[in-house]
Amino acid sequence: MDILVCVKQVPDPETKLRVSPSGKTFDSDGVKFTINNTYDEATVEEALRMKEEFGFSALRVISVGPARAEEALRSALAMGADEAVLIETPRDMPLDPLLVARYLAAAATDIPHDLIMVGRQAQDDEAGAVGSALGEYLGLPSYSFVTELTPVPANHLLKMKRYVEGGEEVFSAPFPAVLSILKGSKDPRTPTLPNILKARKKPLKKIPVMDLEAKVANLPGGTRPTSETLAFTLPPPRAGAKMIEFQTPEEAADRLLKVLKEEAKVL
Amino acid sequence: MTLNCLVITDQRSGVLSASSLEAISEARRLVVKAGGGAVAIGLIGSGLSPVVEAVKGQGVQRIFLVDHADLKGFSASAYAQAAVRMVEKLPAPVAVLMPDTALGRELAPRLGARLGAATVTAVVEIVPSSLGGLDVKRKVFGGKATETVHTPSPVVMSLRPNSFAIESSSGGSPSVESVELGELPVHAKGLSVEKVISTRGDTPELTEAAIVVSGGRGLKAPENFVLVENLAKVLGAAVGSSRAVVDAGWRPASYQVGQTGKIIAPQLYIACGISGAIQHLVGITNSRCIVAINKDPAAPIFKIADYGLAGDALTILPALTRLVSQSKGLPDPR
Amino acid sequence: MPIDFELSAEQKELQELARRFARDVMAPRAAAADHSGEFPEDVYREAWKLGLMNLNVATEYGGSGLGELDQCLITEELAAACGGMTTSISANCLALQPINIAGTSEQKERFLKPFCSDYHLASFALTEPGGGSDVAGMKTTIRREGDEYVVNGEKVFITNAPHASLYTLFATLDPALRHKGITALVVPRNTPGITPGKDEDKMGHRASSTSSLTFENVRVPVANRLGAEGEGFKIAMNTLDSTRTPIGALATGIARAALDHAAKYSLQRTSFGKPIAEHQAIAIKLADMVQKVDAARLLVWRSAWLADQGKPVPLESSIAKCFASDIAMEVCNEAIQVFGGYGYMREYPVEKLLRDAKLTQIYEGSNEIQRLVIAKELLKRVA
Repeated sequence: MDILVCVKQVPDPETKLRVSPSGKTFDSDGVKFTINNTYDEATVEEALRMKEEFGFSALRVISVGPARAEEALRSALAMGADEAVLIETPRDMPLDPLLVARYLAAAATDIPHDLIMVGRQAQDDEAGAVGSALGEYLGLPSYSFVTELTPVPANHLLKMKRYVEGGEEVFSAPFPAVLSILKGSKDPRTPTLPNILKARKKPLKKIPVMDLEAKVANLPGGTRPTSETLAFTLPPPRAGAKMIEFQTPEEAADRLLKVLKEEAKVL
Repeated sequence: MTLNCLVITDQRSGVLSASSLEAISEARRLVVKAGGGAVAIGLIGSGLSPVVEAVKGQGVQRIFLVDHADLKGFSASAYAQAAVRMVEKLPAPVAVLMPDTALGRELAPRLGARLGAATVTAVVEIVPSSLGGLDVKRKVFGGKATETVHTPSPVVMSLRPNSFAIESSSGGSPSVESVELGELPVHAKGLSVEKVISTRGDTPELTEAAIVVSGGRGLKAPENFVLVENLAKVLGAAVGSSRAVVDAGWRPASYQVGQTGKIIAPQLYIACGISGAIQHLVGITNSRCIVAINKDPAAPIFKIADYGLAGDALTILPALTRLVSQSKGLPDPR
Repeated sequence: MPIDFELSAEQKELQELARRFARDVMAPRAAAADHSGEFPEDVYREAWKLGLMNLNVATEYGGSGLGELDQCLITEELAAACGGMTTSISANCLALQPINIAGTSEQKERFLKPFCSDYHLASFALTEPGGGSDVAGMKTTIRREGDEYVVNGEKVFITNAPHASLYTLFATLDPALRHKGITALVVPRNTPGITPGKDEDKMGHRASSTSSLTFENVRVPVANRLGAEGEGFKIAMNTLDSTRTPIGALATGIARAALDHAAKYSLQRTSFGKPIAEHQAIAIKLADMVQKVDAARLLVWRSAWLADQGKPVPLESSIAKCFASDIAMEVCNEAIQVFGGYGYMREYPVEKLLRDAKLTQIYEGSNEIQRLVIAKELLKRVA
């Protein structure tokens, strides 16, 4: 019984965002990339628990990205994953989440997988779309926002909790399946220095995207992104507060809630 | 140019979510902006009669219904199959809208993948493009940046809750059309939810909360700090404080926001009676939206806030709390 | 491509591990440990668990066998969070290095392995009350009795001494022999007759523990001697040669932290209607600070890289240590100035950095000694 975890390398959350010269994305020059997306780290930890406590055998990690994404995979190997696969893209290849899912699906057909796990979303694009799309392309069920996971391997069953607005649903469902993990049961382990050194020697296979194009072309949507990014914009620097005029506290409250809902869109 | 919209609603909790009403309202607006077309509501689930009644007066032209025992629990695969049957009934160009709830976030990509359609999650703004298709905005990097995406038809979008105004409808008498679900794959049949555990009422962590309400010395006395906590409670927010409040012993050090306390980046930060010493400001500059309530209109906090109320937090806080709890149907904690 | 400043992917990972540990575990405790002077041993245990201690122990004895450059990368990251904790964490590298250098494989097996399988601290016991720089003038004596040595004397300023389970001790067969009499011994803490003094109340590095050690008729088996009798001086000097560059990295880490705090603050703090960073007086300070930090790091990297190529680095390591520690003082001093009155307050982090930086000019070979070495090496080359 094998697990495949999909990870993504993302910019350090503390990085100062700048707009790229094209105006369509953030400027990746000089940006420090973190080793891994935090949600993916939680997912790798949960996958390790599956291996350690429920008898899953191999744990493989996979990523779609440019050469530097190898760092994210090495980090997962240092946490304890056994093997890694990098679907290597040219540096500025336009991708949208569903195209990423198609490449993952194309590669996954050659990688054993009884469970596929993804983090709930990447910290950069926050799309959270890869998991269920991957399930669709592979013809597997998907279960999202999983907060608790207990496999019953003998019956090929997963006992789960998943987040819903205001609470959690408790349910059981069969696997193979694709799970998007909202939170793991443990804090992700930090790779130790000896494990970082050992991870260097674990197998990491690189597949150029072009090797998968024939398979991806057969999936709905094909080899091109289905949407096009027009602009990436940063909010203007703070210009000082917009003062809200009022006579009574009630009026103050009413006007504030209105701008927060309709203008700032934070409520 | 016309546009036909299908709105897949979320009634997982048994009732139609407010975010579904936002999506319906936005679909009606979009059709008008696009210069015509129809809005259809797609209801997917089991035992949907009460919801059908609830959406009849929403000013839409058609209601599609897939009411099936196998759809009682949410399975993205099964729901996507139902949604595809609905999309097939609408002439192109088609936009599918749904709320970006846990259900919508999982269903939208699955449906988009099945249709080979453009798919955009957590959308905050939609504008029909002069070139055809839609220009769609979404927030990225924890709200620190905005991405604009152009989508052709068909497109599937999940709409971030609280981002679109709910407009009351013009009535209408839509046709209710039962749609055939077809045979489901074995894995998608009859996902059964054993129980639902409610987790409402938990106070979020200061560093993780989407909303933080903080109090400072402008609250005058320790017993007034409860006003901040009451507002936080009805907003589902975490509670923070300035250093002065901690130094005065009103609240423990764990409340302190700022250079020597916690550095936070919520969606909304409400500073009540906080003047804005630099050591406090450093801790909050990454917040998406900062509201300051302070008696002194010259207080430094107003320089970095987005919205300011020059007034007494002691009177404004209770008014805010009352209004928020009314709008959420919660009892006023005071 | 004869010169390459790019770190390997593996080195970046080690750096990231250290950076995370520094940020998540050390930094949140740094201010409190500095105020109270406590010895945050739980932090050190955590460092051990992650493999951030005993970096220089060879893999065959369970260590990571890292080279000097790797050690320096890690040390700079740790020191950017807390210089004092870094000193305590790296003290094992210093204390175990004489065993790496001069131990037999039996001794390495016996003494090094326990450090890699469990958390232990070790101390390097060289300096004496009579003076640190004049090593050959040491007064702690050993006398052979059968298959044991009997040790008598006192050592001072010993890092981690009360908490260590093992000491690498340098003592002399006869003070009159000067450096020819110095002999290195490995002494377990539980040997009768060893008394650590009380914790010194220090100006900086307050999270680290420093105390004296007295030896009163302490009996050490001859089997614990490193190298031959009289080889101790050479062992001590070789040890210090290999740990000097990491001290430069430690100083660079402190300086970098000061620069970082000052630069960020200068964008937040406004005066005369604009951020103080936009005032030239401040901008020029920052420009000078960043030059110094960069130069220090490059000197450290060069020395470490040369050492990893197996080259002797008496000149380069002294330059790296001396320069980095001197600029650490200057940069911390300027950082306080950028913070103005707030910089002088304990609530803000920069005054601690200055107090921590000061020690790096003094310990592991004072900068006066470093300069003598540098001058001597220079003149040797032109003579």
